[in-house]
Amino acid sequence: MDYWEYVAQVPQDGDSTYLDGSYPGAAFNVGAADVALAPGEKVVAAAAAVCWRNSSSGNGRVTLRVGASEQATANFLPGGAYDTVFVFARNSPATAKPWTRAEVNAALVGAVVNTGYGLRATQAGLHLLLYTPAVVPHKPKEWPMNFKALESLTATGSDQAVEVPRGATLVVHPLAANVEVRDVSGGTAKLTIPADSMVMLGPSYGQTVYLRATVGTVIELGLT
Amino acid sequence: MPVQWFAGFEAADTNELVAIGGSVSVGVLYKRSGNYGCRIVVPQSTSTAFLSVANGFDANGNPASISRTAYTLGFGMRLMALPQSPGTWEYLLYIASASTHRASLRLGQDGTLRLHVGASGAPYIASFGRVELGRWYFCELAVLFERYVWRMDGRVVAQGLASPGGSMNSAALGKRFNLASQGYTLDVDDIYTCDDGQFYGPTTRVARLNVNANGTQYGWYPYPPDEPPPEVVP
Repeated sequence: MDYWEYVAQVPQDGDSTYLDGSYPGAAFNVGAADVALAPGEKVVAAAAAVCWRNSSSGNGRVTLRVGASEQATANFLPGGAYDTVFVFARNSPATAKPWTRAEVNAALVGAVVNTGYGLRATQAGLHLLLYTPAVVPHKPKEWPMNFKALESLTATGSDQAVEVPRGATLVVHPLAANVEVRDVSGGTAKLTIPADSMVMLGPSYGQTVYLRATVGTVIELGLT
Repeated sequence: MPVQWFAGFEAADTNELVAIGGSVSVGVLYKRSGNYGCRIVVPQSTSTAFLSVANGFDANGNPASISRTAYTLGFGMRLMALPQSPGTWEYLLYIASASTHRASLRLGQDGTLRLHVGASGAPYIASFGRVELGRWYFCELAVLFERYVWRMDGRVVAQGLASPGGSMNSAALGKRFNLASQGYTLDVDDIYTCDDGQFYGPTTRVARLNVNANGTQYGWYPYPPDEPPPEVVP
């Protein structure tokens, strides 16, 4: 059995199992279970809890450690009955800043004998105050853009018809080769859009335009 | 930061309180979050049942009542039974300086919650409900020296100017007043207190992480000691 199991029972089991601090300077620390935070949930504060009592003359303190940093109660003489004592920490002892999940998971709860002997710890754990900040609703300053992405066109080397609804503007972006734009299929090209440039054609009166490019050229299209 | 104390009512966590009186128990059936909550059964007799809530810790890590000019509490509450005598009410939350009333939430026989700030005989200044039986609410009340804010489930029920009449150093959940009534049953969980008007809202919960790993140990000896391995007879 690992020694931490002597202080793991919930509820605490009194003198059935415990750790006994037997001389000044004696110390123990145990790690806590992983904290499962919900999305957005934050650790407001933590409190190490040790349920202990005095069976003789022990004077000591309860500790909360993160790495080498310790926060603790004062050294005092616990009573003869089991009592839970807390070390309350709004901030991580290691950073003096609000707790992170990693720091909570690295926290160690324990106790130190200061003078005397006979301190008995029967339960240890870490309590956390958790909350989820209210979600601020997204409030756009304006209505969303009237933009529709169209399926890209793969050029065939011939005129390909693209209908542009009345009032809409066609966005044309050929990736690798120039695109010729015609208003009549088979007619004279009225516009040549260089490769990897973007041109907006419109607003439309409801026309169909004809795009022609080298076979295999990908032409990205959109309406706005 | 303002939070001063919290209690989750995980198993045996009534130890976290300044005091308890009467029928107060911890159990899995009473929880709002985590593994356990706490039930207060205010009895149908002249005795009482209550939790004395801490608002800080002393130097030895024991829950303590500390005099404050601002006293904010948040707690999950679920009423399971109302006072049953017509026209009666009981204290649901009682904030005081020693035994002097500063503010209270009072539970009426009809399920209405009413807020009183100042002298105990002062009329109520806000009300909520009727509350539903068997439903969890998260109640938050901030009493500052010249004003108050009361929220239920994160929504403001009432706020305004009112003076508690002095500093506060104690609070009790469940507190018998009207000996003619027939008591009520209240579940509470996830309590916190602050020394200013900070609210954490209905998503607040208190989690307990049990130990599950060795750290370091010297001079602390496990009891009972490991049994020696059985002798092997050749």
